[in-house]
Amino acid sequence: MKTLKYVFVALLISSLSLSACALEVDFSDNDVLGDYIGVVDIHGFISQGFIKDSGNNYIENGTDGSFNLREMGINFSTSYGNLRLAAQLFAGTLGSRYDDHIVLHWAVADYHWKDEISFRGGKMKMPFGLYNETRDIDAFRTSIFLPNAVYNENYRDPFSSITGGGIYGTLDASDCGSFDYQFYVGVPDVDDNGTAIDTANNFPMIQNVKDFDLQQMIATKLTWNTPIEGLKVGGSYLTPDYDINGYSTGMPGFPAAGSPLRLNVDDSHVWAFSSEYTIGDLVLAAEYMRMTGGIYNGSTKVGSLNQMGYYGSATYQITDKLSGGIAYSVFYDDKADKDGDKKVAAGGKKYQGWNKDFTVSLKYDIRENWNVKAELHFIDGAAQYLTANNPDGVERYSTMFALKTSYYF
Amino acid sequence: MSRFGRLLLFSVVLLAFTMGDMAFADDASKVSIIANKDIGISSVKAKDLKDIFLGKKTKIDGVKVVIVLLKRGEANDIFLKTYIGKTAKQFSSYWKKRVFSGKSRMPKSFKTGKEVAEYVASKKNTIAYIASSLAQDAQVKETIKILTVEK
Repeated sequence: MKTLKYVFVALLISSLSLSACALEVDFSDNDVLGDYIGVVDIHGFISQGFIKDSGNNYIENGTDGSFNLREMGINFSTSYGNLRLAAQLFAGTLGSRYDDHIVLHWAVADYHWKDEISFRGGKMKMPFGLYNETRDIDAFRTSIFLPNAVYNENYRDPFSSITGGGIYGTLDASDCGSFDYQFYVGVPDVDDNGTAIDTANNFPMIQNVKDFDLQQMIATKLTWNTPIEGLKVGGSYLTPDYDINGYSTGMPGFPAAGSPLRLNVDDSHVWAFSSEYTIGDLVLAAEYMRMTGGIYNGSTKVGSLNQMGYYGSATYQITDKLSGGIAYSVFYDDKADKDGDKKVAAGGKKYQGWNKDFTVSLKYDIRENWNVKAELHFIDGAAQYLTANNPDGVERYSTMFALKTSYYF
Repeated sequence: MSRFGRLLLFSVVLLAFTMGDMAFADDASKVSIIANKDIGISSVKAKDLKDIFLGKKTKIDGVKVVIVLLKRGEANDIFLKTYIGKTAKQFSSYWKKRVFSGKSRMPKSFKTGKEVAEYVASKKNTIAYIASSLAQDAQVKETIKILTVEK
C-alpha cells in the first residue's frame, strides 16, 4: 500500500511540475487504441492546510495545531462518441482520519443520449445541496470548510459518493428558465478509517464501532435556474439507512458493557433546500437541511435522528486576486431540543444541543492555479464536536483558525 | 419619502435599467458568436447559448455543437458577462468543478481569438466567441460562419 502511495504522489508531482495547465495524452495516432480512446485529459490538484483551534478540537485531539489537513487527486477522462469515461484517484487527511489512503474517488461511464435525459453509472459524487459534489476540492471556492450546519464533516464520507447508476439532464422551461436534475440509485462507500466511525461512536449506547455500512439508497437533486439572472433554487433528497457494528456501553435496556451490539438507522431522510444568487462579483447562498431517522436495536426503536441546520453566506471578489467571504451557520442536533435540555437530562451539557458558527474567509490567488486561504471560525455550542477528538469533554465557546494552500492543473 | 423623492428614486432606477440595457447592447456588439462554416444553423437563441456554454445542452435546433473557449481577454469578459452571467473567474471555477466532480471534460480553450478562429475553422460543429473586430477581418470571416443571437 505504501508503494502505491508513493507512486500516486510521484505521478501527481510529476504532472504538476510538467505543466501548469491540464495535460492531454493523444492516442489518436496509435494503431491499437487510436480508434477508441483519442485524447485523454489529465487534471490534478494538491492542497496542504494547517489548523489550530482553542476551546474544542475540530478534527483531532491536540492543542498545538495540526498540519493533518490535505487533499490530493488526479483524474483521467476520455470520450468515444456520446460515451465519456472518467475516473479520479484521491488521497487526503482530516485530523486523525483518512491517513492519506488512496481511494477511487469517482469513476463514471456517462452516456449522453439527449440533453433532457442521459445516463451515468459507476461511482458518482453524491448530489446534495449546492456544493457537496465539490466539497473535497476547496481550491475553487473562497472558504476552506463548507458551512458545517449543512456540510457536516462528521458525515463527510457517507455523503461523498454513491456507487450505482442514474439519470440526469436539463429540462427547458421556456420563459420560466430551466431545470437541472439528477436521480441516482446505489450504495455509498464508507471509508472504515473515516469520520463516520467516530460519528457512530458518539451514539451513547455504542462504542468501539468497527463497521458503518450504508444500504442501497436514493440520491436526487433538482435545481431551478430561474428567469432572474444569477438566481437558482433547488432541493436535494437522500435516503441513507445504515447499520453500525460495535460494542455495547451497557446503558439500561442494552446488552452488558462490551457485548457485541448492532444498531440500524432506518427510515432515514436527509433533505435540503438551496438557493444561490450571483450578482456580478457577489455570490449569496443560503441552505436549509434536515436529517431524520430512527435508531433501532433489532426491532426496538432506541433513539431517533432529528437534526436541522441552515446557513447564509456571502462571498465577494474584492480584487482580481483577492476574495473574501462570511458565513453564519446554525445546527441543532435535535430540532425538538434547541435549548439542549435533553442533553442535560442525559448527563451532557446544554450547549451540546447546538452549533452556531460565524466564519470569515479570505482567498488570495498567487497564480491562476495556485492560491492561499485563511479562515477564522467563532463557534458557540458543541453539537458537532466528536468525543473521539475531545475525550476530556467540550466547552461552549471555541475558535478555529485554518490556513491552506492549493495548486491544481 | 416625499413625492419628489419617490419620483427621483423611480427615475434613477429607470435610468439604471435603461443604461444597463444600453450597456448590454453596446457590449454585445463587441463580441461575435462564430461556428464552423459547415454547421447547419445560422442563429442561436441567447438562452440556448448560455446552456450550451455551461455544458447543459449539446444541440442547437437538433444540430450537435462542440464549444471552444477563450482563456482570457476583453472579448472573453464581455461574452461571459453578456451571455452567461458570470465573471471570468466564476466561469473558470464552474468548469473546473464539473471536471473535478466527474461531470464533464474541460472544453478546448485558447489564449487568443485568432487561435480560436483557426480551430473553429478546422473542426466540424464547433461554436465559439471572439472579438467582433477579429470576426469581421476579411481573412477570418471567409473561414468561419458568424451566428446571429436571438433574444
